[in-house]
Amino acid sequence: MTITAHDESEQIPAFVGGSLPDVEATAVERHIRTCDACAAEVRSWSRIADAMRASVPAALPAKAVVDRAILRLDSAGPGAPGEQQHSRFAVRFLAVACAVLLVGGVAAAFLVKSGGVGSGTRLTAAYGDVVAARTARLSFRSETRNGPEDFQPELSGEGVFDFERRIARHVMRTRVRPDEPEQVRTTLVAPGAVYLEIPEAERVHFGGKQWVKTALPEGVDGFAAYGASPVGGASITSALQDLENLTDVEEVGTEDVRGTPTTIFRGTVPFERLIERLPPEHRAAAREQLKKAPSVGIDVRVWIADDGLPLRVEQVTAGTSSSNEVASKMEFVFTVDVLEYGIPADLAVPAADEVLDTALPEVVLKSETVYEDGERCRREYTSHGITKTDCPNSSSSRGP
Amino acid sequence: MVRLAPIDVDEALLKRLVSRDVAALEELYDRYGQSLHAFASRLAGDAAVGEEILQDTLVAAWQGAARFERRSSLRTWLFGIARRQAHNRTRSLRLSTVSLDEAGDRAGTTDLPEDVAIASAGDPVLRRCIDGLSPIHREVLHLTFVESMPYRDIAELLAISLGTVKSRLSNAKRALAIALDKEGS
Repeated sequence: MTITAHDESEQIPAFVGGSLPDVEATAVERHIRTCDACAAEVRSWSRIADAMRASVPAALPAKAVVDRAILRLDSAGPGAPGEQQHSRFAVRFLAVACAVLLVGGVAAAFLVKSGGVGSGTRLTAAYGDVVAARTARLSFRSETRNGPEDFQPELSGEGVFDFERRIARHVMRTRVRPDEPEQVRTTLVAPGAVYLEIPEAERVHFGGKQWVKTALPEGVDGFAAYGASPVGGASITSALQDLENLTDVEEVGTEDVRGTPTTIFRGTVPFERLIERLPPEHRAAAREQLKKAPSVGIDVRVWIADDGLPLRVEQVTAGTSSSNEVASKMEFVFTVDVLEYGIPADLAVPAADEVLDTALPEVVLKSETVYEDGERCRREYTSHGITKTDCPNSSSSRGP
Repeated sequence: MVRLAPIDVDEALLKRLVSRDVAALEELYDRYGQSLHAFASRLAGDAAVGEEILQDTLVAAWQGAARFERRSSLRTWLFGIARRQAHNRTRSLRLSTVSLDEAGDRAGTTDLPEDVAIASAGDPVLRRCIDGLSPIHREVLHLTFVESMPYRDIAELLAISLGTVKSRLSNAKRALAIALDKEGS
């Protein structure tokens, strides 16, 4: 059998590949109806095309590939970006650290200042005792209950906290979706600024600097806001400080925590207490957002040892969506464990020559989520813990 | 909202790259990351190396955006960058030179029942043989069938004539049939 190399034959790969203009494609279609050789070619090219398409990598590399590219830009010769790039880097760095914020947008990040005087229960003394112990080694973890299978944000970490000097340093591990690689970030929180550690391998692109510094606006308490990544209204430090704000406290049992007998109390931190801490201009929006919440506050359980020191605090925030069934059933659980009190902590603010100062007054993260019902919600999270949610239809917060 | 034509989106994206807007890199990734990664992985024969090449491509696009003269589309330009980066990463790829198989004329193929060999091969064997093709053949097949790229764009990208695109495709098919024949014997 001889295949004649006529014009149509040369066009067959393009015909099968789908790049042929309509007119020419029609001509090829017409031709193969009467030319057996070309029809056979269409069949074999189609098999090749199918095999080619089937062997394309299924997954797009994670967006981290862009981060790594950005990290290489400033050593990339003429035209390298200046400040803007560093800001961008800080934003992406923070975006990772704060990714879990995207969980609920419930009472997230109402953590600006510690408020209130104690209510006179046994718990009132607890935070005072924490501060009196001056330092502690803490671990923390978050958990999402009743969420969709592919949305199980994981956050955990451990760190040293100096409650007297209000400096903390912790390592946080986060993963927003099960198929994503885990992100590990070291953060140092000091009065006035938050420092994110640049991974060692990447420092070469930043003149050997170890930290990216983001200054906090005047009056913002970094320690309260950044003691950990806020999850559904929780941060490590606020979890402890909020013991002062519990209402309806009751004793619910006893349990050993790492071998130490404790008494378990439960209570509620009313949303209103959290709202009072917000700058006045954000309070109305927050009240509106929380109107449809199934509870009046954050449920808290605390495990207190006989010496009055809390060993574990657990906060549960329920989803507040009225229109999204899955989101309305979700619960965000944030647990802080105090592993050791009064440890030697030599936390210090990094020296100026180890720091890349982004000189950003505020870092704003924006997200947009389109829900199945077509509603488009925009959210903004800023580096000092203010969140704005804009859901045009439901005017309430929704889940992920 | 006014929906921009793809070409306008590309132009806007390019302008942002030239003006050193780092966020534009992310958009480049959103728009072209998938196809650049697939192409790079095909050339390298390995998805992880493909990811490295994608990263190199983003950096090189950033560096070269100001020099891009718009003689081709943004997509073709990016594929050209990816190709050079793949070449840098995998020195064994000889992408820019004319290979020996193009010296042969088509008359040599006439007795080979290529279409029969390809049509009767099992999927796993077919895929294995495609993976074993030379990079220049994998490349032209990928651009034609995965990217649906017109011949003239392929010619521009590979810096070869339109006729060479066509002959390279048919040579790729012949090489595949030969590889299948070897598998079978």
